[in-house]
Amino acid sequence: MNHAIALTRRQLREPRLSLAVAALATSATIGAVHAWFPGPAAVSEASALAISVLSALWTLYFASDSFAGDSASGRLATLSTLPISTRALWASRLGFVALASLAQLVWAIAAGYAGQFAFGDARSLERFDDALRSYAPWAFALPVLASAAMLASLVVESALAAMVGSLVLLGGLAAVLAPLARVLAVAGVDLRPSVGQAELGAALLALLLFALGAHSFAQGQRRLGARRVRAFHAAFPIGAVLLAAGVATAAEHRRRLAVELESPRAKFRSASASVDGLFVALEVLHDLPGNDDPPPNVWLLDLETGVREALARPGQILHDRYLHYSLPWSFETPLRVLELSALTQRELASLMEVRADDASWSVNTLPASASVLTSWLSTRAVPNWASVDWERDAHDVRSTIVRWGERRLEARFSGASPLLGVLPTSIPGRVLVRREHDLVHHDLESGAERIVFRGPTRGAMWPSPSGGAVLVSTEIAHTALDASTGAVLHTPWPREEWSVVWIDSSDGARVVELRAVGHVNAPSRILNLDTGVSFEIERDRSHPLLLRVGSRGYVFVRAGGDLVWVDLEGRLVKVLVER
Amino acid sequence: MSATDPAVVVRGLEVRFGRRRVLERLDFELARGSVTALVGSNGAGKSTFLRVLVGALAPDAGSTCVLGLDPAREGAQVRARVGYVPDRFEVSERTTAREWLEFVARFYPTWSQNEQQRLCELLALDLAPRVAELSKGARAKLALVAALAHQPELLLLDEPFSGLDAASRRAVASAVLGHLRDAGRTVLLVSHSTTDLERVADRVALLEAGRIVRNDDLEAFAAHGRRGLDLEAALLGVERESCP
Repeated sequence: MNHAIALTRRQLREPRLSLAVAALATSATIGAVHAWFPGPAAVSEASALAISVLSALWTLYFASDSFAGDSASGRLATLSTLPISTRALWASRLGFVALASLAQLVWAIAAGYAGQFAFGDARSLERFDDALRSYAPWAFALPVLASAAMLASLVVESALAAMVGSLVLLGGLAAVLAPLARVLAVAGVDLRPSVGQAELGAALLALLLFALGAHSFAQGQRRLGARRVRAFHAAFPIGAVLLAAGVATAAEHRRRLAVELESPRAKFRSASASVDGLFVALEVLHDLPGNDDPPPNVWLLDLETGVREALARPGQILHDRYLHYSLPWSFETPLRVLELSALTQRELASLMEVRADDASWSVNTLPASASVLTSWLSTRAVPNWASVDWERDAHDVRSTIVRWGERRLEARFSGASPLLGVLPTSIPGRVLVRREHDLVHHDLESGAERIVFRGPTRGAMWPSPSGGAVLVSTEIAHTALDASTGAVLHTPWPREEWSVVWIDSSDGARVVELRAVGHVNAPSRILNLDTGVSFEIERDRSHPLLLRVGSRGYVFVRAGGDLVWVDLEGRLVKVLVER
Repeated sequence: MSATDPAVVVRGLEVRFGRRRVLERLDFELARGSVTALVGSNGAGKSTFLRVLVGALAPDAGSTCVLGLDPAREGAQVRARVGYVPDRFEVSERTTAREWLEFVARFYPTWSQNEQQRLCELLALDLAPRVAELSKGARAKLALVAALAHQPELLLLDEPFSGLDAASRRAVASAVLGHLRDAGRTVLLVSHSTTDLERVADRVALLEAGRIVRNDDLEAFAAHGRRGLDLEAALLGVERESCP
């Protein structure tokens, strides 16, 4: 122990110039922040950030220089000829890194507070205090940085190379861990840690790297402190871990991309049916915990025969550009599918067109092209007589412009879709517009307006998939209106009792799903507003998919997880996918 | 361990660097109180052998016993009782010679300030300058003082005359090593200077191709070439004989 202390003291004395320069640089940076940053808030934030970054930098630097320089110059070899144990030598370097890093951290914080006391006021001090505390949880990264840099310092001959090497090492570990976490998520293992778990994980990683460093150092000391021996003993376990994890991850990566319909972890997100309802394109993805949303697979399914085909892995169905409902497809109007890169899972790999004929489907694959993709964007909620543009002005305010020949209507509102405030109806020149709190019909020819629903409305109006109707809410009830005539399609549903949404459909049918408010497990009621047919279904709401497949009925995931097909009156026709 | 046991006993020692065998089935004994010169051509493995003896290098095979200890497992204890002057001596350039000796002294319970002072005077070593300001010879003297001031039972010297001027060589060879011999200390000395060896050694061990091929009294060794007491000629003769 005495030997380790003596060595540590010497270690601290030798780089005293570096320690002083680091402290001065920290002070100068804090001073520069006070001189150049405008306002106490910016100064406080920037000071706290500078303290955090510089602390990490100095930890990285001193840890990187713990062995590299002495090893290259032969000073470490001279020390090894003294009656000092390998353990004491290692402990002294560890002690030096810990003390030097801690000293720099304390100095940086002191300099930050000194700056606040000298140039700030009570409010800026409070802001600085808050900002500094917000960075405190990141302190657990310092031992990880130090351990990685010390390890790197054992296998290279300069501090700079060790700094770069340690960052490469940590980057490599992160690069393996990220996909590994996603892979494990498929198996139901959630690797995303809480703050406490992250701190524990970081501490364990730091301990592991410190232990690996101590092991490689000890092995190297047995062979004249040979760098090659140290490198072997340090790199071998890390390389083995990275290689094994990399190979496993790569192998699992493909498996992860392939979502089987029968998999209990498959989530049916959306679908698009052919016009006759015979074929259904399904978007299916792995149901991962949290917000991790992997790219889906696109499957084609023949409802009658059960024939299925994995079309794109991963891929996405091109939906209505404004309302995001499905676009019915046929031979003339193909289904459009975007095939995504299997590697990045984000970039477009190719474009696919699927045409339906009487008995089957045919697929045509095109090279990825932004212009082709842009030309494919379409909506079925806007009738042919009208065109809709969505523009953003200099003040970032969005406007929907409806054009009918030379005539135009411009309406400003905030919303996720241009049709939530302005909807061209099936009658040429007639536009349903949300004005103040009412809905009005605007006549593009005369400019006249007529109130069709007196509010005050609450929120936007929600067009049906075909644009033939809208749902509008007040404080009291939800109401479905015919978009062209403004006629009320059904007795309003009390808001306190029901939530109402449109059901996606491959035809123009106006069908809603009603769910009792406050009853999570209550069955859904399907109501066709055109025919008045209504029935109840028990569906698994963790699967968003609920699609009307034309006159054939509905497809959804029932409670228990099976994908089923029911007829227009809710009678089971077929279990499409049993799970 | 009794006082008559050899200070160093080595059996079947093997050291490999990669595929290259540096020491191969080496057997060696070093009698207490002897001053033995370890000689051999460049690359014969002399420095490697000394590093094994101080525990800086773990052998691949064989057994090594230094002062009754295994250097591979008890390196620090061995080094506490051994004075070792390595072939390469590097310390921080900013430190002074005095600071270095003060630092080193902490690790040796037997360190003697009087001995340190005596050695410095004998070698005419000024402790005030920084190491960066020391000549090569002065650095060699500093290494020698650091190795001797704790009055080791065994002294392992790897080219201690390297970089020394004639006067210093004489001082080291005659005064320092002579004193050690007179005090009954055991010395194993590596040097290429036969003149220095003749001055201090009483035995000569010839290391060639990783093995001790001859270990004799100085006179017997020198007489080997039937050229009287010409050690250099004798060494050349033995080396020639040992070459395949």
